[in-house]
Amino acid sequence: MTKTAELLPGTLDMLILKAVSLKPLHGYGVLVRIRQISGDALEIPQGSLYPALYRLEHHALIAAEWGQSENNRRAKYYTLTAGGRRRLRDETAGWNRLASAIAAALNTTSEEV
Amino acid sequence: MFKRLRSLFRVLTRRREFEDGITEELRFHIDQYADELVRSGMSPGKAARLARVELGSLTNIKGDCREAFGVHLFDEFQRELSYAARLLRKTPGFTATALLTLAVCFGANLTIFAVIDSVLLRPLPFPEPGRLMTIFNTYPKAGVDRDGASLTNYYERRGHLPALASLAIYNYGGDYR
Repeated sequence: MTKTAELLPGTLDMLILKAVSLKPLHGYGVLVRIRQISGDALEIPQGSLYPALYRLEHHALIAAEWGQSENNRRAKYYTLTAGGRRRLRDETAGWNRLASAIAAALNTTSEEV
Repeated sequence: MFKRLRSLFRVLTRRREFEDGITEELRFHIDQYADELVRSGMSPGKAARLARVELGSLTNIKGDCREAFGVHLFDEFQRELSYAARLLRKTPGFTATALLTLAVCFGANLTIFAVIDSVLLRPLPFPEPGRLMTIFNTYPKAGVDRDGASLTNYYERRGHLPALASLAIYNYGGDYR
Protein backbone atom coordinates (compact mmCIF):
# COMPACT_ATOMS: atom_id res chain seq x y z
CA MET A 1 0.00 0.00 0.00
CA THR A 2 1.27 3.46 -0.87
CA LYS A 3 1.67 6.03 1.83
CA THR A 4 -1.22 8.50 1.96
CA ALA A 5 -0.73 12.12 2.93
CA GLU A 6 -2.86 14.20 5.24
CA LEU A 7 -4.78 16.94 3.49
CA LEU A 8 -3.71 20.47 4.38
CA PRO A 9 -6.59 22.63 5.55
CA GLY A 10 -8.17 24.51 2.67
CA THR A 11 -6.93 22.14 -0.01
CA LEU A 12 -10.05 19.96 -0.13
CA ASP A 13 -12.10 22.64 -1.91
CA MET A 14 -9.35 23.10 -4.49
CA LEU A 15 -9.14 19.35 -5.15
CA ILE A 16 -12.91 19.04 -5.50
CA LEU A 17 -12.98 21.90 -8.01
CA LYS A 18 -10.17 20.20 -9.96
CA ALA A 19 -11.90 16.80 -9.96
CA VAL A 20 -15.19 18.28 -11.10
CA SER A 21 -13.49 20.40 -13.77
CA LEU A 22 -12.40 17.25 -15.60
CA LYS A 23 -15.87 15.75 -15.89
CA PRO A 24 -19.25 16.07 -14.10
CA LEU A 25 -19.15 13.74 -11.08
CA HIS A 26 -21.38 12.59 -8.24
CA GLY A 27 -20.09 12.82 -4.67
CA TYR A 28 -18.64 9.33 -4.59
CA GLY A 29 -17.10 9.94 -8.02
CA VAL A 30 -15.29 13.00 -6.65
CA LEU A 31 -13.73 10.83 -3.96
CA VAL A 32 -12.60 8.18 -6.44
CA ARG A 33 -11.33 10.77 -8.91
CA ILE A 34 -9.21 12.61 -6.32
CA ARG A 35 -7.74 9.32 -5.19
CA GLN A 36 -6.99 8.42 -8.83
CA ILE A 37 -5.46 11.75 -9.97
CA SER A 38 -3.31 11.98 -6.85
CA GLY A 39 -1.89 8.52 -7.59
CA ASP A 40 -3.61 7.06 -4.48
CA ALA A 41 -1.57 9.44 -2.34
CA LEU A 42 -4.45 11.55 -1.05
CA GLU A 43 -7.28 10.12 1.01
CA ILE A 44 -10.26 12.42 1.51
CA PRO A 45 -11.97 12.08 4.88
CA GLN A 46 -15.39 10.92 3.68
CA GLY A 47 -17.35 12.80 6.32
CA SER A 48 -16.05 16.19 5.22
CA LEU A 49 -16.63 15.61 1.48
CA TYR A 50 -20.36 16.37 1.42
CA PRO A 51 -20.31 19.50 3.58
CA ALA A 52 -17.53 20.78 1.29
CA LEU A 53 -19.61 20.02 -1.81
CA TYR A 54 -22.61 21.81 -0.31
CA ARG A 55 -20.48 24.79 0.63
CA LEU A 56 -19.10 25.06 -2.92
CA GLU A 57 -22.59 24.70 -4.36
CA HIS A 58 -23.89 27.41 -2.04
CA HIS A 59 -21.08 29.74 -3.21
CA ALA A 60 -22.06 28.95 -6.82
CA LEU A 61 -18.60 27.54 -7.59
CA ILE A 62 -20.15 24.23 -8.61
CA ALA A 63 -23.68 23.48 -9.80
CA ALA A 64 -25.63 20.35 -8.87
CA GLU A 65 -28.12 18.45 -10.97
CA TRP A 66 -29.79 15.09 -10.51
CA GLY A 67 -29.00 12.53 -13.20
CA GLN A 68 -28.57 8.81 -13.90
CA SER A 69 -25.51 7.01 -12.59
CA GLU A 70 -23.61 4.27 -14.45
CA ASN A 71 -25.67 1.64 -12.61
CA ASN A 72 -28.96 3.44 -13.41
CA ARG A 73 -29.58 5.06 -10.08
CA ARG A 74 -30.55 8.63 -9.36
CA ALA A 75 -27.43 10.54 -8.36
CA LYS A 76 -26.55 14.18 -7.84
CA TYR A 77 -23.97 15.32 -10.38
CA TYR A 78 -21.71 18.31 -9.85
CA THR A 79 -20.29 20.50 -12.61
CA LEU A 80 -17.92 23.46 -12.45
CA THR A 81 -19.46 26.90 -12.95
CA ALA A 82 -17.70 29.87 -14.57
CA GLY A 83 -17.00 31.25 -11.08
CA GLY A 84 -15.62 27.88 -10.02
CA ARG A 85 -13.29 27.78 -13.01
CA ARG A 86 -11.97 31.23 -12.07
CA ARG A 87 -11.53 30.18 -8.44
CA LEU A 88 -9.70 27.00 -9.47
CA ARG A 89 -7.30 29.00 -11.66
CA ASP A 90 -6.56 31.48 -8.85
CA GLU A 91 -6.10 28.79 -6.23
CA THR A 92 -3.83 26.73 -8.51
CA ALA A 93 -1.64 29.76 -9.16
CA GLY A 94 -1.55 30.61 -5.45
CA TRP A 95 -0.72 27.04 -4.50
CA ASN A 96 2.10 26.79 -7.04
CA ARG A 97 3.62 30.04 -5.80
CA LEU A 98 3.49 28.81 -2.21
CA ALA A 99 4.84 25.34 -3.04
CA SER A 100 7.80 26.62 -5.08
CA ALA A 101 8.65 29.23 -2.43
CA ILE A 102 8.67 26.60 0.31
CA ALA A 103 10.66 24.17 -1.87
CA ALA A 104 13.22 26.89 -2.63
CA ALA A 105 13.52 27.72 1.06
CA LEU A 106 13.95 24.09 2.10
CA ASN A 107 16.55 23.38 -0.61
CA THR A 108 18.86 26.18 0.46
CA THR A 109 22.36 24.97 1.38
CA SER A 110 24.74 26.69 3.79
CA GLU A 111 27.00 27.94 0.94
CA GLU A 112 24.15 29.90 -0.59
CA VAL A 113 23.41 31.92 2.52
CA MET B 1 -23.64 37.79 -1.64
CA PHE B 2 -26.82 38.08 -3.68
CA LYS B 3 -26.22 34.66 -5.21
CA ARG B 4 -25.85 33.13 -1.76
CA LEU B 5 -29.09 34.69 -0.53
CA ARG B 6 -30.88 33.33 -3.57
CA SER B 7 -29.41 29.88 -3.02
CA LEU B 8 -30.47 29.96 0.66
CA PHE B 9 -33.96 31.10 -0.33
CA ARG B 10 -34.26 28.28 -2.86
CA VAL B 11 -33.36 25.73 -0.20
CA LEU B 12 -35.74 27.25 2.36
CA THR B 13 -38.67 27.13 -0.04
CA ARG B 14 -37.92 23.52 -0.98
CA ARG B 15 -36.85 22.24 2.37
CA ARG B 16 -38.27 18.70 1.96
CA GLU B 17 -36.46 18.33 -1.33
CA PHE B 18 -33.21 19.50 0.25
CA GLU B 19 -33.43 17.02 3.13
CA ASP B 20 -34.44 14.11 0.90
CA GLY B 21 -31.62 15.09 -1.45
CA ILE B 22 -28.95 14.79 1.26
CA THR B 23 -30.37 11.47 2.46
CA GLU B 24 -30.50 10.03 -1.05
CA GLU B 25 -27.02 11.32 -1.90
CA LEU B 26 -25.48 9.78 1.23
CA ARG B 27 -27.28 6.48 0.70
CA PHE B 28 -26.02 6.41 -2.89
CA HIS B 29 -22.49 7.05 -1.59
CA ILE B 30 -22.67 4.18 0.90
CA ASP B 31 -24.04 1.77 -1.72
CA GLN B 32 -21.40 2.74 -4.29
CA TYR B 33 -18.59 2.32 -1.77
CA ALA B 34 -19.99 -1.01 -0.52
CA ASP B 35 -20.20 -2.25 -4.14
CA GLU B 36 -16.58 -1.32 -4.66
CA LEU B 37 -15.53 -3.17 -1.49
CA VAL B 38 -17.52 -6.25 -2.59
CA ARG B 39 -15.79 -6.16 -6.00
CA SER B 40 -12.44 -6.17 -4.22
CA GLY B 41 -13.48 -9.36 -2.43
CA MET B 42 -15.23 -8.34 0.78
CA SER B 43 -18.41 -10.03 1.96
CA PRO B 44 -21.52 -7.89 1.28
CA GLY B 45 -22.47 -7.63 4.97
CA LYS B 46 -19.03 -6.50 6.04
CA ALA B 47 -18.76 -4.14 3.08
CA ALA B 48 -22.04 -2.41 3.92
CA ARG B 49 -20.98 -2.03 7.54
CA LEU B 50 -17.55 -0.66 6.67
CA ALA B 51 -19.01 1.79 4.14
CA ARG B 52 -21.35 3.15 6.82
CA VAL B 53 -18.56 3.45 9.37
CA GLU B 54 -16.14 5.19 7.02
CA LEU B 55 -18.65 7.85 6.08
CA GLY B 56 -19.22 8.59 9.76
CA SER B 57 -22.28 9.94 11.54
CA LEU B 58 -25.01 10.77 9.02
CA THR B 59 -26.60 13.17 11.51
CA ASN B 60 -23.35 15.15 11.75
CA ILE B 61 -22.84 15.24 7.99
CA LYS B 62 -26.40 16.40 7.40
CA GLY B 63 -25.96 19.08 10.05
CA ASP B 64 -22.75 20.29 8.36
CA CYS B 65 -24.49 20.34 4.96
CA ARG B 66 -27.35 22.43 6.36
CA GLU B 67 -24.79 24.76 7.90
CA ALA B 68 -23.07 25.12 4.53
CA PHE B 69 -26.25 26.75 3.22
CA GLY B 70 -27.05 28.63 6.44
CA VAL B 71 -30.37 26.76 6.86
CA HIS B 72 -29.48 25.78 10.44
CA LEU B 73 -30.03 29.37 11.60
CA PHE B 74 -33.66 29.15 10.54
CA ASP B 75 -34.08 25.80 12.27
CA GLU B 76 -32.72 27.30 15.48
CA PHE B 77 -34.94 30.36 15.13
CA GLN B 78 -37.97 28.11 14.68
CA ARG B 79 -37.02 26.13 17.78
CA GLU B 80 -36.65 29.36 19.78
CA LEU B 81 -40.05 30.56 18.57
CA SER B 82 -41.86 27.38 19.51
CA TYR B 83 -40.11 27.39 22.89
CA ALA B 84 -41.30 30.96 23.47
CA ALA B 85 -44.85 30.08 22.42
CA ARG B 86 -44.86 27.11 24.81
CA LEU B 87 -43.66 29.29 27.69
CA LEU B 88 -46.35 31.90 26.98
CA ARG B 89 -49.05 29.24 26.89
CA LYS B 90 -47.88 27.89 30.23
CA THR B 91 -48.22 31.30 31.96
CA PRO B 92 -51.51 32.77 30.67
CA GLY B 93 -51.65 35.45 33.40
CA PHE B 94 -48.29 36.87 32.43
CA THR B 95 -49.14 36.61 28.73
CA ALA B 96 -52.44 38.49 29.18
CA THR B 97 -50.76 41.25 31.24
CA ALA B 98 -47.98 41.63 28.71
CA LEU B 99 -50.40 41.74 25.78
CA LEU B 100 -52.64 44.25 27.55
CA THR B 101 -49.67 46.48 28.40
CA LEU B 102 -48.54 46.38 24.79
CA ALA B 103 -52.05 47.11 23.49
CA VAL B 104 -52.49 50.11 25.83
CA CYS B 105 -49.04 51.46 24.88
CA PHE B 106 -49.75 51.12 21.17
CA GLY B 107 -53.17 52.74 21.57
CA ALA B 108 -51.86 55.68 23.61
CA ASN B 109 -48.99 56.26 21.20
CA LEU B 110 -51.24 56.13 18.16
CA THR B 111 -53.73 58.57 19.70
CA ILE B 112 -51.05 61.05 20.76
CA PHE B 113 -49.39 60.85 17.40
CA ALA B 114 -52.68 61.36 15.55
CA VAL B 115 -53.34 64.52 17.57
CA ILE B 116 -49.80 65.88 17.14
CA ASP B 117 -49.88 65.04 13.46
CA SER B 118 -53.10 66.93 12.74
CA VAL B 119 -52.47 69.85 15.13
CA LEU B 120 -48.74 70.45 14.92
CA LEU B 121 -47.21 68.65 11.99
CA ARG B 122 -49.69 69.19 9.20
CA PRO B 123 -49.84 72.91 8.27
CA LEU B 124 -53.19 74.48 7.41
CA PRO B 125 -53.84 74.31 3.66
CA PHE B 126 -53.31 78.09 3.18
CA PRO B 127 -50.26 80.22 2.46
CA GLU B 128 -48.98 81.97 5.63
CA PRO B 129 -51.45 80.20 7.96
CA GLY B 130 -50.17 82.36 10.84
CA ARG B 131 -52.04 85.36 9.43
CA LEU B 132 -55.38 83.54 9.31
CA MET B 133 -58.16 84.70 11.65
CA THR B 134 -61.89 84.28 12.22
CA ILE B 135 -64.31 87.18 12.78
CA PHE B 136 -67.44 86.66 14.89
CA ASN B 137 -70.35 88.96 15.41
CA THR B 138 -70.85 89.77 19.09
CA TYR B 139 -74.03 91.11 20.68
CA PRO B 140 -72.99 91.97 24.27
CA LYS B 141 -76.40 93.25 25.33
CA ALA B 142 -78.09 90.10 24.13
CA GLY B 143 -75.42 88.02 25.84
CA VAL B 144 -74.24 86.51 22.57
CA ASP B 145 -70.49 86.24 22.53
CA ARG B 146 -69.82 84.60 19.20
CA ASP B 147 -72.32 84.53 16.39
CA GLY B 148 -72.08 84.06 12.64
CA ALA B 149 -72.12 86.93 10.12
CA SER B 150 -74.78 87.48 7.47
CA LEU B 151 -74.12 87.81 3.72
CA THR B 152 -74.86 91.52 4.06
CA ASN B 153 -72.19 91.81 6.79
CA TYR B 154 -69.77 90.13 4.45
CA TYR B 155 -70.38 92.54 1.54
CA GLU B 156 -70.15 95.52 3.89
CA ARG B 157 -66.82 94.42 5.30
CA ARG B 158 -65.16 93.15 2.14
CA GLY B 159 -62.45 95.66 1.05
CA HIS B 160 -63.21 97.96 4.00
CA LEU B 161 -61.15 96.36 6.74
CA PRO B 162 -57.53 97.63 6.22
CA ALA B 163 -56.21 95.09 8.71
CA LEU B 164 -57.21 92.19 6.44
CA ALA B 165 -55.69 91.43 3.04
CA SER B 166 -58.79 89.54 1.94
CA LEU B 167 -62.01 88.23 3.34
CA ALA B 168 -64.12 85.17 2.72
CA ILE B 169 -67.35 83.78 4.10
CA TYR B 170 -68.14 80.13 4.65
CA ASN B 171 -71.19 78.28 5.75
CA TYR B 172 -72.01 74.86 7.10
CA GLY B 173 -75.19 73.17 8.16
CA GLY B 174 -77.28 75.16 5.67
CA ASP B 175 -77.22 78.69 7.21
CA TYR B 176 -74.64 81.44 6.85
CA ARG B 177 -72.47 82.35 9.78
